[in-house]
Amino acid sequence: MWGLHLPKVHVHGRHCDCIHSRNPSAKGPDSKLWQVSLHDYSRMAPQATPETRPYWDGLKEGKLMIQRNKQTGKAYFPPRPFDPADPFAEVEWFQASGKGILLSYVISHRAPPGYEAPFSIAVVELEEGVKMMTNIIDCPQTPEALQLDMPLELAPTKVNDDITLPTWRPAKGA
Amino acid sequence: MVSPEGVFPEYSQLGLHAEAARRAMQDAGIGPKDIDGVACAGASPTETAFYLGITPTYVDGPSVGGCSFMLHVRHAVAAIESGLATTVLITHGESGKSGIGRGGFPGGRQSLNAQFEAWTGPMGPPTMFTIPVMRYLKTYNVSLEQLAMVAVVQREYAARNPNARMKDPMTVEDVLNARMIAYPFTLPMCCLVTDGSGALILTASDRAKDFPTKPVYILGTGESVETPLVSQMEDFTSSRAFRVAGPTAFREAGIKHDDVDHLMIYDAFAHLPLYGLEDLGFVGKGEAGAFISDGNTRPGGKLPLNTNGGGLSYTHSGMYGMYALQESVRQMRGTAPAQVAGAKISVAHGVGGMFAASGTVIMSNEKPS
Repeated sequence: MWGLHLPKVHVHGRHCDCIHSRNPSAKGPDSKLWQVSLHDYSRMAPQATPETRPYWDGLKEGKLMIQRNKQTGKAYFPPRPFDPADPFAEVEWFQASGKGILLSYVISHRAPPGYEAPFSIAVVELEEGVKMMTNIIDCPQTPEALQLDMPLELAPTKVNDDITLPTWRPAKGA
Repeated sequence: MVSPEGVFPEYSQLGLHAEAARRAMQDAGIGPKDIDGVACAGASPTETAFYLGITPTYVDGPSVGGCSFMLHVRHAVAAIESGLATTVLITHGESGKSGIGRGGFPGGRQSLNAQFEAWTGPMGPPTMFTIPVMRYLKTYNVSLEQLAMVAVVQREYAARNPNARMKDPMTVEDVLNARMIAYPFTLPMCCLVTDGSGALILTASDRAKDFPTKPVYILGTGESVETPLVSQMEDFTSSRAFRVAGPTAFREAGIKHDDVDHLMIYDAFAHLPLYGLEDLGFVGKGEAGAFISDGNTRPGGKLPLNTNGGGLSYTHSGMYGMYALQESVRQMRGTAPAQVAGAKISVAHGVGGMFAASGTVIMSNEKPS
């Protein structure tokens, strides 16, 4: 699972034939112990509902689509057909910037099947003010590398034809 | 029903409910025919009532996590006052370690949890309930040593409790050097995994005086919920559900913080007593770590907290709230292993889910006027 930088949308799994191996001992020559895609997410892939379909469709194209109140402009999450702050207001979908900061995290030392421990389970606070749980990829999974308030950027991970997950990574040039 | 071995391999989950109920009825000197209210979580009240031969006129069963029993108590008080029932049985039973007849939790790939949290790979509460704490520590400059002290102090109480699962003394270094579960939480900062059960019987105070054992009076209760998704808490340094449930109970009881002699704060993980002390208003924001480290909650301190040893050292079958309530009852009856001398008012504060829900119950051994 340790390897080179790869295109950010890449499916790792049992049948994956990518250039690096899931075996940590088979590191590539340029390995800097940076994890690219941490997990085989296929077993845990969620399914969209009608209320969340635009969110998951957006991610398939690498876009983070969320919703906001048309009057106040304030974003909310997770998606639903109304703004919980004002359920009678008009709402709209929009593309979020894909920028945020690391709000909090743990580093789990236990992994469900298909996942590689230790790994971070994190919450990113988006520039738009909403929070989402995620995994931080392309980054050592250590307290030293994971500093609160560090800038992050969206780096989606494709799981299947329907689901691309909103994974995040340290912002480039940060 | 708790044992130091932490397992009851001979009981199913429903059997644990029933055995706890049987012992509670024995303690109260009554039988199933005297009970007309049933509430439980972890089993359906229908199967519990049928199993125990009870014909209830009041059935309650909110299952909002480990604090469900705080809510059951609150609702039972209202039910009794309003005449829905005269005598309510509340049961808990959980084959949390042995897993015998244990029901599953709901969920599916389209649930909010599946879509917005579960894919990140958490392995249950140790990797979910703990998510907000790094932000709390940074915001208030609380150290890992202070977080570890929560576990250290509770172990001091557990050492006095014959039914506690973990009794060996522990230092801050022991806690911080223990096996890492989910950074920054090591094993002793996470609750135990045990079997266990417990039951309470509530009735009107004029009826309670006929019972053979000393009654404990409910002064006030509170409850609330916030979110099923820990990532969507309004504030990672504070629980909104705590901030609603706690003050509601204090208002209803008509007491001040200085009146409280004994406190239970559901401690599935070491940060919960910190959040509880602050959100219930016992200390200011960010002050709970120092408050515990300075010895205020340890045996002989001014605010004894989690005196059974807590979920960290006494027992934790999965929904710990029942044990917190029972410890408050024991303290008020004067029968706790680590008895707080002269204690007259106890607060039992519970959490459900991962900061999803909360219930608070305030008790006294003196009948309110």
